[in-house]
Amino acid sequence: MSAAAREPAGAPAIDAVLPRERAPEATAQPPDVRNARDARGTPRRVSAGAALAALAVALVAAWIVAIGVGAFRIPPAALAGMLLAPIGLADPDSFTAQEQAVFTAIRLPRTVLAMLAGAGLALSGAVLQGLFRNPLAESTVIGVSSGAMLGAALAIVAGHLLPQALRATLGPVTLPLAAFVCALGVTLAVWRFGRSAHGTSVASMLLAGIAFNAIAFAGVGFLSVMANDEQLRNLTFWNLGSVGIATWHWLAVVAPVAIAAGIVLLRLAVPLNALALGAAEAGHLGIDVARLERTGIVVSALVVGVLVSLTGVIGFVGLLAPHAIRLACGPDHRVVLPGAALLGATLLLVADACARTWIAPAELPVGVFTTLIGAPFFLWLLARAKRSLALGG
Amino acid sequence: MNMVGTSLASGTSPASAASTLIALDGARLQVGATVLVHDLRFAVAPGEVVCLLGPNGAGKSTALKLMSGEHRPTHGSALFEGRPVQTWSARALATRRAVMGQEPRLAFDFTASEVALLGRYPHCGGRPGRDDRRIAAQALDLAGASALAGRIVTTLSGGERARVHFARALAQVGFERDGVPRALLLDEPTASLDAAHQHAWLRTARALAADARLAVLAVVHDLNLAALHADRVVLMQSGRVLAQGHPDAVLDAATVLRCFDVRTVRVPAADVAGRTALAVIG
Repeated sequence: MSAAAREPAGAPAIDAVLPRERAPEATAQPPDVRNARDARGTPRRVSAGAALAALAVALVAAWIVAIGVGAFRIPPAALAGMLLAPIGLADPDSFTAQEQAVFTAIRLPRTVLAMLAGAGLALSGAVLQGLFRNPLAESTVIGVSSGAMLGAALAIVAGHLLPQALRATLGPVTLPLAAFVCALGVTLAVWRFGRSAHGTSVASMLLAGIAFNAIAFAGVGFLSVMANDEQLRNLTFWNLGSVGIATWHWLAVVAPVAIAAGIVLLRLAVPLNALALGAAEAGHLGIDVARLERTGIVVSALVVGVLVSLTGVIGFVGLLAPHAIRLACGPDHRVVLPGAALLGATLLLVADACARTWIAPAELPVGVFTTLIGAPFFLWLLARAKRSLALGG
Repeated sequence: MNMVGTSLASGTSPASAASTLIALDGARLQVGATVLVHDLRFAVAPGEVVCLLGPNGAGKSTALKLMSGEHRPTHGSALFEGRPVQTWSARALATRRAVMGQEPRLAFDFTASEVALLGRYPHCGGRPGRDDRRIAAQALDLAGASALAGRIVTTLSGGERARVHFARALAQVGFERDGVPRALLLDEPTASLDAAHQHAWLRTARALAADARLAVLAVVHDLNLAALHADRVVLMQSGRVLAQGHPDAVLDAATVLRCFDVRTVRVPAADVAGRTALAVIG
């Protein structure tokens, strides 16, 4: 309706005043060089809608598999029965009471936590990468996850040192809160170390990450010496990362926070696109860059903090998922953020299903699994970044 | 779509616009005891292309950053439409003014057309409609970058990247002939361009200035570019404005020798009526 108002006289007048300017460019380079450039520089991309739809389907499929596999199998037919019987669409005899019990008490909370953690870590990874303007920024790499782990360890081992009144008020929130505060501290510190007037220095960011990872592990090491036997068992679990302790009690504390924070992060997609041009440039496009950075840092630390307080450190999901989406669909954050969340959830569901069945009846911690896949991928990314830096890109 | 209405409304009434759109009014920037620029005073009116000239370290980029609001002057003020830049909301300013900094570095593999479309951000809230796509495509065309539209910007050469970012700035100011004056601030836009593109670029800026009531302020290094295409030049040295006015008046051989330490002669311009070109002879 407003096309006419916007362009009252039509475009041609300007074109008429202007000389045609493509002539020098067309003659500037021999055609074969141009074609070679085109082949490299023009991306082939999957449409956003198709990609998100495919990811949603994959997530549902992964969930059905993840519910089914494990020491006790739940066939898809029984799952369908359990889901549909309450609304009268299936026969209540299509599943056993045992299947129902395993589903409700074990598999459902476990898969919900896997999806939350996968989506949250991938989303916060994508947002951190946008804020740092760097595809290598990720919560495990820059030390945010281990910071959260240190916070959780502090709450476990030294929580009893808190004043009784405070402990009573905080209750079950103590652990996620401590993890969040430490995660936020690390993010802010890496932010300060890694940033300069010219943007983010990859080297400073990664080196600061090394230092914070080292500090966190030393801190957890110290705390594990101070810990009693029960505390120690809890601590070991945090080092490895698992979604196995999911219970409805803990999910009720963590899930609402993680979901709300995730929604806030998804809404940063548009300003993050502008920030890709640089902070000053984004400011000139009308973005409140300081507010964007503040929101992004605090909320992504919140997501990582509360999730790590439940699952321990699950590495590299935040690196793999956003990068895969960028490769397939391009760097538009309006696709990257929801796409990374869906893919992250799927990846962690699959990883957890594998971790549960690989060496059954024993169980591999899912963090070990994701790190084994993710760390080589990180090295590959690093090699690529090095090459493009050498080329001046 | 309804964003279009608000973008026009925020343009205020064109009648109230003063004769100048962007101005530095006695602006000084001091960091500690060091004064980077002293009491700068110059203005650009809609329809005008002003080139900011001066040797390295003269404070040209600083002046441009004061003008854009990126730096806040310690004394004096930077004005947009008579009001200090800092009192404008970032969003309202962004619909009226585009700034192209020196060599913007893009994170992530955006294509040229996606970058040009980012220029429409303040107008469409980041969700571009058909009009925005049309304007972005037109901007790429004007910047001589349509052939690059589908290419990934980080894989382009410096000159090609500069053209894409110029297109982004053009898309941001748009080409609306609605009488609302808009401003384009360019910091060394021509630095990495070949000669043909440098001149084409300045011609584009001139045509847009005349046609869409743009006030264009550009930092350039090539004296001849300014001599041929600028309506006025502002000559800076050691953080001060040395002279300003018509290029023929300001860029006389004696001033250029004093300021840049090069000798120049005037030669007739080939295709720009009423202009003389400037040739450096030693």
